[in-house]
Amino acid sequence: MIRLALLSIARHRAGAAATALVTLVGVVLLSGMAGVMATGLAASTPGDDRAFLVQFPAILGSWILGIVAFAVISTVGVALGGRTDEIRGLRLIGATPGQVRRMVAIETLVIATTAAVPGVLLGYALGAVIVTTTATTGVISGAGGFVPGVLAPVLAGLIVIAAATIGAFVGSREAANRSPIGEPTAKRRSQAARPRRILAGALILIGLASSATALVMEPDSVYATAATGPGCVLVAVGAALLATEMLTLAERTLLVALHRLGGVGARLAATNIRIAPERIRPAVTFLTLFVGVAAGTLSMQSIENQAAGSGDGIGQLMAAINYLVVLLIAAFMSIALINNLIASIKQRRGELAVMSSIGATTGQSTRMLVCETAMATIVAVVVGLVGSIAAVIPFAILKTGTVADAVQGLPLIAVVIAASGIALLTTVITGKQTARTARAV
Amino acid sequence: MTITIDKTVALSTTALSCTYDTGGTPIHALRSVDLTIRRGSFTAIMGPSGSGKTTLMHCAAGLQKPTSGSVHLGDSEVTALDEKSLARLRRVAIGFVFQSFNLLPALTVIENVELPVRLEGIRPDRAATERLLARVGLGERTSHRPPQLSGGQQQRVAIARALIAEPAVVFADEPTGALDLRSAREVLTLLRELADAGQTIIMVTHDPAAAAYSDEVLFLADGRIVDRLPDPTSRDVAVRMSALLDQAERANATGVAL
Repeated sequence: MIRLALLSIARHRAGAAATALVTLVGVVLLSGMAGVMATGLAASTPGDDRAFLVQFPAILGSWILGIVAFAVISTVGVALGGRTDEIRGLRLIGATPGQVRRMVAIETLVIATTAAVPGVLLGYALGAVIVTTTATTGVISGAGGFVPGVLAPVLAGLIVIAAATIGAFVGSREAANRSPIGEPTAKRRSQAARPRRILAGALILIGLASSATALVMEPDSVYATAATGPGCVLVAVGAALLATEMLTLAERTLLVALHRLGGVGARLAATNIRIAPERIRPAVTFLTLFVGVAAGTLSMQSIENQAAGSGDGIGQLMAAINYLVVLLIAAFMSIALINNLIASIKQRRGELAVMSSIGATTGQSTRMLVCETAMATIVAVVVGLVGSIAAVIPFAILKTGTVADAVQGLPLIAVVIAASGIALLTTVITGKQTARTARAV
Repeated sequence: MTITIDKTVALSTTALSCTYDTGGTPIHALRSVDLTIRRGSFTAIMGPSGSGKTTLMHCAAGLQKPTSGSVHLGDSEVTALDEKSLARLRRVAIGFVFQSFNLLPALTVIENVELPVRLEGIRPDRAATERLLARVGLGERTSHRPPQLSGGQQQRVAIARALIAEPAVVFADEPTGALDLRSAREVLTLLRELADAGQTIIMVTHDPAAAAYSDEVLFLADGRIVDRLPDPTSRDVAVRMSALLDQAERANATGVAL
């Protein structure tokens, strides 16, 4: 099984590269945070710097770990989508779902370990940048320098490897459990969906509850930010988990509009989303997370600025944390999104080859793919924005006393432009290239 | 309940029914099929499209749960097994040969053949695998990978893989469907030789020439076994199939089941 797993990596280079990239970035972020925390705990660090250097990476690190695991699960799921025949063949000759999942987990373990080595080294660099930058802004004195040691960054790397391996085992569940002779039945699918829906609902409720606690706090309390930030992330994760349901809903409501657009690309896109929503689902998931987290955090910062003007030391600290959270999560989500979009488009080479053989131009095929991504973007933007605004309302009431201030125009527009730009540009470039080279055999 | 096991029977089905609920009118793919397959026999299953032959094979091999009825394979009641036991059954008691070969392109010929044994957690007997590959005419190609072989050779690898665990029954689903005439003849001759050596084989096919290699042809129509033809010739099979197709067309025209 180990040899089969190793050979599979060589065979499925694109999927392996996607997983490696997600893990690499995850390790860079987490070991960077671990380095900062180790610096905070080091004996040579001045006492005044400790609180920031320990709390900041502790809060951020746990989010990063959760998001890395989530991204790996999705990436493995997409990569396995292109290996349906291989998995079915294995199941037919008697491999149990557990054996298939272990094979995928071993593959991921090898990939993640390979990616973790440069990841930890880059993590050292990230940690050093964070510590020196924070010292420059005056939040910490930085007198103790950057002293990450070896244990903390390496341990962070090992944690990401473990998270990726477990994530792969979890992410391969559906593919491994599928019947060796066909697709899962509708009944089975809805049974599998139930725990996910319950989890999504719970996360949204916990997120909103966390945000709502801001209402009972003092307007200048740091804890209002500390409660609303995670609230936004939880609501975004919960909404992202409901991507399938959102797509079904959108397909029903937007289908008429897509058909009216008239183009064959739009019509095909509508049909594709109806017949196989799972192909575009990962894009919706990552876009929703991106929009939800980025819009929520940037809105909070904008409200904070509106309420307090330039802000004091604590305000600056929170601003630094907020912007870094947005930057890191947004960068990570962009990579995961681009990865998944490329993988899912490349897997459709056969379908694009058939279209080409019956006379579809590269432009027509690309337009079909772009329409699908546009649909995914619309769904993610609407859900992500609604979620983030809902999570920020208590914060807005607390800071400015006005519900309407939860809608901060500029940050929201910036997030929407960034999200749609990344998604559509990736689709146009990859779609064109794949459609041009796909020829029926 | 105690079941008396007839040692001359490799596989049997009792009142096997399978209905697909499509949301509208239910489709009866199998209607109470009773079937007994003798040990060491080579049986071909034929029938028009939608007659239930693939469903029969999937239910008999434990790949699909029937709506009602039972399947016995040796002393196992296939229909009572859970997913894990069914996977084990496929490793040790059943061999599969499919139209699309289903070989893993990353593995060599010998690794593909030995995979079911490795999945069972047993170290394969390399000399035995090499003998098996020599038997299917691939003794010189053990270290090749599937993409380096012709269709006929790939199918012979799949046959060797199906035989590695010395299964009670080999199921073949259109094993010559993707092959040219010459390769098809080689594969069918191999299956015939295996049956002559005592291997039970059940083959679903739409090709009268392929069916002529079997000991007996079962004809399915509308989910029932409607005819049997022992010691078939291509011509006899073609004539019966043609009659069945005419009957099916007439039934469709009048809306009456066969």
